[in-house]
Parts: sequence; structure tokens; C-alpha cells
Amino acid sequence: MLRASVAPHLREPRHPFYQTGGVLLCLLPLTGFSCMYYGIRPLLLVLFGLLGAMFTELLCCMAAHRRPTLSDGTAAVTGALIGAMMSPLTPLWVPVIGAMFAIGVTKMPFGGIGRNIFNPAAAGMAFCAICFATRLFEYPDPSQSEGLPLWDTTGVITAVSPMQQLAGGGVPKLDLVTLLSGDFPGPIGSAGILILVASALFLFVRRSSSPYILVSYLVTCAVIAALFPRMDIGIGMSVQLELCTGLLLFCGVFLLSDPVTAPRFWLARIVYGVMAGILVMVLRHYGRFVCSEFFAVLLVNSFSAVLDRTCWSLLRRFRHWKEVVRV
Amino acid sequence: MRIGKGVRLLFRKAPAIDRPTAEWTDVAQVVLPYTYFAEADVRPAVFLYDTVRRGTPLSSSDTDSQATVLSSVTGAVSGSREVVHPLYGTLHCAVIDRLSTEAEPDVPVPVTGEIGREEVCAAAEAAHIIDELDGVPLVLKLREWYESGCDYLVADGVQIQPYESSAWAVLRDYAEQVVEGLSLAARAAGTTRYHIAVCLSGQRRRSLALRIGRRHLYQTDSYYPAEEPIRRSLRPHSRTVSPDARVCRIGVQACLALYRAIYFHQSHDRCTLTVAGNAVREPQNVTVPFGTTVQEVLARCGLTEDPSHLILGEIMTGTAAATQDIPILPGMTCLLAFTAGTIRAVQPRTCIGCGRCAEVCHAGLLPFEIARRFRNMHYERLGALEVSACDGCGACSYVCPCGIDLAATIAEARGADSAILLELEEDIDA
Repeated sequence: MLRASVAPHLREPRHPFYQTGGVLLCLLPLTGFSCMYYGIRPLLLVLFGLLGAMFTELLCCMAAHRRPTLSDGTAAVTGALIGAMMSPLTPLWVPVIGAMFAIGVTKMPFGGIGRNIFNPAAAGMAFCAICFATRLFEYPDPSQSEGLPLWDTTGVITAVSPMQQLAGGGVPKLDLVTLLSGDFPGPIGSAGILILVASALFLFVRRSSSPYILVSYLVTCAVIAALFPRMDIGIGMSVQLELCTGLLLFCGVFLLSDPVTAPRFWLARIVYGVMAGILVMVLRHYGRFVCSEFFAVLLVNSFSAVLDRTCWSLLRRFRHWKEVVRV
Repeated sequence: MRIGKGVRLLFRKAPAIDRPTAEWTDVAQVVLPYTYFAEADVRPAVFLYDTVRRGTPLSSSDTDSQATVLSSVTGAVSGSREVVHPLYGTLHCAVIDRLSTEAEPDVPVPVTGEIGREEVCAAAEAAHIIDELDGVPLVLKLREWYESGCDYLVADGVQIQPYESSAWAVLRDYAEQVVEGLSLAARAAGTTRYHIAVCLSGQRRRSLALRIGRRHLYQTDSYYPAEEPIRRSLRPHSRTVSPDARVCRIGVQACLALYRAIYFHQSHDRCTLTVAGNAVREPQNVTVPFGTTVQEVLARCGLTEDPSHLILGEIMTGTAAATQDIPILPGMTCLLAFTAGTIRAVQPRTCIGCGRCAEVCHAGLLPFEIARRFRNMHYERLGALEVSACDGCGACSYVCPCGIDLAATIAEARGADSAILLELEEDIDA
């Protein structure tokens, strides 16, 4: 008995977890690198965020009488990303709250995976930044030899991060080696610059993210940092500090390239990256928060669909015009 | 990593490509339609118990000589029946039992004088050559190319899809004849620039280049679909040819048939096709007369078990057949049989917006956006997305990690878009 099937009869053997699994895999060494400086606390923060997001997604699915969609891994990624954007000193319940907001408000009410307009991790982080600003932007000194206590962090010595120094008019004394080794105060995910670069390459090779977005975003940030340095520290140092500190690179690798909320067309992706770069640098210059990259991500998310349509039709018109001119 | 159009598919041409091509001209029976074209006005010219010779027209037409079909064997008409063919629709067919006394005339006919454009067209017309790439009579294509201009003629031997290797087999066995046929076709199309585009690995390519010369052979990269590689195969000429040069494609088997039509006066009545798939015991390339049933071909190749899926054509673009009792007709170059569980129905999930469909679309469309607008019934907005430019290669469906059948949705959207245009025209007329 012959059965019917529709062409193409062959499909690329890939599960949605292939996309999200890659991101989770990248977050492992990043968190591990932070654990080298701060003990096991960064891992716990990431884990709490991850579990909070998964639990919220499960609750939402049950409330909507839908089959749980945990197997696609998107909830886990959202939670883990929120955890990785926190300061190592943040109380453990903060990433849980952020993850619950991300899944419960930004993702599931819109219909779940593939239907959300805004990046849930960026939204969750923005919510935490607004509600718990003082707890989010206090960073411990990585040169302290002993790891951070798991629960009560009141006695921990904090340090001024390079971002705070730049925002306050100071000049951070950091050379390139220190920047690359992550030996400066900052969020969990911002420390391992080399790991972030390797993660970006890994995600490009797996086709989990687009190089168009990241490259155009970083180039824009670098150009703005070179043209408008915040302090009189020279072009090279300004570019180094802006690109390697804060969540700029982290957001470019993980949040901006999120396939659901980013444009799909290559030209739109380039424009999207440029817009994000401009917004990030504007917020760094004039924003209220030390780390405000996730606000820029949320703002550019709202242009994704428009950018896709506009860039595609503009490119088509340009090609038609070229053909007409040639004829 | 590749940033651009197309996808790299699996290589499953072995072992069929490594085996010699089997010539199965001694088939017991052929089932041939009176015409391949549903709208053609033809009358049967052979009837029950008539004896027909190879090359005899089975029908006659006052208007279109290419609408008739030539007998592919010498034999007796033992009946007629309706066949629902997955590629051609409903066909009224004659059943011809082959007579064992059939002689195969393979004697070259002396050609006198210069072979000009008209002679080539006349030979293609007399031999009823049908291009295997699109199932269109070759003479019509040659005339159209000559009238509207052809800058390059490319014999398409690329065959990027996983199983198909019939063109490779033809090139391996008859490369010199194919080049000669291609040069004749180029003459008829009014161009002096022609070459064979292939996608062969090292040793195969080198041995072919030694036989026919490097200037006639261009290697493409192995990204599906093949349209783009063929255009890219013109890179060596990029200095002399404008990027909007018209590139015309012709099948390798059609070139061989043209050569045989001119130098042997043979009609185009057989084809080479790849028989493969995990239900086939001995995957190989076979040459059979048109009208040979799929059942007979599969029986000769041997089956490991009853196939659950039978695909006419390649795995990316082929059509699933509901029965084995269908004839092999022009345009079929691959036959795949798979056991149960090999081709699984994919449960589609919600689009995660990865954009892979737009990345691989060689027509530069936005498949996800077309599918979204079609799903949301925004039919009036489909026209702006140039749905009609889709050629149904299926690359978007292949790469979709969510298992969404974008190719089928776009095909439906194309229909909806046409219907709306028709309605608009009616409104304007009114």
C-alpha cells in the first residue's frame, strides 16, 4: 500500500532545541568563567532564573490547557539569560521574578514561542532594572580571593565597575589583557569576552544566529565610541572600553540575534543592528542606568517586522530600477 | 559557514552512479498515451491488434505534429486504457506487447552537407524529442530561444539532489555525443556559446574533462537548488557577458537524443532514469523505452520489501505515486522507492522566526511573510511579495526547523494571488 506525501519529501533533521541548546551550551562556560572569580553564586543565579522561567511556562501552559512546551528549550534559555545578566551580588529571588515576568507577561500572553514581539529576556531584565535597580548594579570586587556567600551578601566588598566610572566622569584604568581576562567588576555574562566571541562564532556556524546583526551592531557601537568618546582617553581605549564592558557584547550575541524578535531579511538585519548600536550608545551617553542595553533591544524589537517589509520592498524596487536603467 | 542562497543536501547517489547503466529495451509491454498534452486534439491512429513498428505515430493531429506520440517498441496493440499519471494527469493509453523479433537499428545515417538551424529543428521535430528538464518538445524551445535570443546554452548535468544521477550516467557513457548534440542545439538556438554544467567530484570531473575538453565543462558548487549554480557556472565569462545575459537550459538526455536524431535518424523513445531508495535492492541507472511500467522497472531492480512511498522524480521536488502501474514517460529521470518509516510526516510547530527560509530562497522571497499573510487571509497583500516568482524548489520547507511546509503554503498563496488578480480584472472590465 503506497502512501501519499508532499514534496519536499526530505527535511533537515533539526529540532527547535538545536537552536536553544546551542545558546545554553554557550552560557555554560560563560557562567563557569564567572564562578572562577565569585564562587558558585553566579551558577545559582543562572539556575534560579532558568527554573523560574520553566516553572512559569509550565503554569501558563496548564492555565491555557495547552501541552507543555518546555522541550523546545526557549523558556530555559530566557531564564538562563536573565540570570547571566545579573550582578553576582543580586539576591537569588530577583532572577526568578525577572524570569516570571519575561514568560508570564512578554511571552505566553502573545501565544508562546515564535509569537512574542519583544525579547522576553530583555523584558525581564528591564523589569528587574526598574524595580530593583540598587540590587542589580552593585558589583563585587573580583580580586577578592574567597567566593561570595550563597545567601547573605551584605558584608561583601563592592567595587565601581568601568561602566559606572565612565558614566560618572572617571577614567577606568584597564588594559586590554585585564579586559579580555574579565578581571573587573561587572555582570556575570560580561566577564568572558573571549568566551563571548567564541560563542558568537559557534552560533554562526550552527546557523542559530545571524552574523549580519552582530557585525553591524558592533561596528556601529565602535564607530560611535570612536567619534564620540565619553572621556578624553583616546579613540582606541574608548572603543575597547565601550565594547568590552557592560552588557554590550552579551546583548549583541544573545539578545539581538534572538531569531523570534529579530528581522529575517539580511538587509533588515543590518539596519536592525545599526539601529540597536545607535540606541545602545545613546542610552550609554544619556541613559539613567549603568547597563541599559536591554532597553535598546526592546526598542529595536518593535521595528523588526517593519524593517523586514520595508527593506525587502526597497531592495526589490532598487533592482527593478537598475534593470530599467540598464535597458 | 555559508552566507547566501541554497542548501547543501546529502549525497546518496552511490551505489547507483558506480554501476554501469543497464539497457532494458526487452521489456514485455509498454503503455503509451496517444498524446502527452491534455488539451491536444489528436485521433488514435492504431487500434486493437494492430502491429506497430518502433517510431510509428500512435495518433494523428491536424494542428500539432508534436502532440502525437511515437511507439517506443515494435509490437502489437493489445488494448487501451485510462491511466491517471501523477505528472501528466489522466491519459488515454495504448497497451503494446513487444514482439521479440524487434531489430534495433543503430546504424549511422550519412549526413550530407552542412547541418543548419532548420535541419536541426526538423530533426528534433521528426524525432519528437522532449526535454527531460520540463517535458516541453525540444523543437518549440529551440524556436523560442532563436526568436527571443539566447546568449548561453547550458546542458544541465548538475543534479544536486541526493539520489538522481541519470545525467551523470549519460555523460559518463556518451559524453562526446552529448557535446555534439549540444553544439547542434546551440546552432539552432542561434548562439555559439554553450557548455555542460556539472557538479562532479574530483576523479569523475577530471576524466570527463579529458574526454570532452575543459572549455565545454563547467563545475558548479553543490548548493541546491540548481538554477543558481548554473548561473554561477558562467563566472569564467563574467568579463565578456553582462549579468543579465539570457541563459537557456537544455537536458543532457535531450542533447543525446538530438545527436541520435541527426546522425542515426532515431526517434526519442527511451530515457535513462535513476532507480534508488532503500526499498530497492540494486539501485542503478537504467535505460528503458517510454511506456515501460514502474512496476516492471522495480521488479527488475529488485525490492527489499514492499515500498511504502514511491516518488516520481527527486526527493525534493518529486511527486508521490499511489500505484506502481504507471508508465515511465518523458520528464521522468528518477524513481525512488522507500520503505515504511523512511519518509515521516512532520508535525508542524509555530514559526520561531529563524529566517532560514529567507536565507535559502534563491528567488529572494520572504517565505515566512508570505505564509503569515496567507494564513491571516491578507490575500490582497500577497501580490506585493511577488509570490509568482516562487519556482517551488522546496528549499524553504527543507530547512524549516519547525517542520512548516512553506513550499505548499506558497503554492496555495500563488493560487490565491492569481484568483484575486482575475477578480480585479473582472471588476475593471465591469
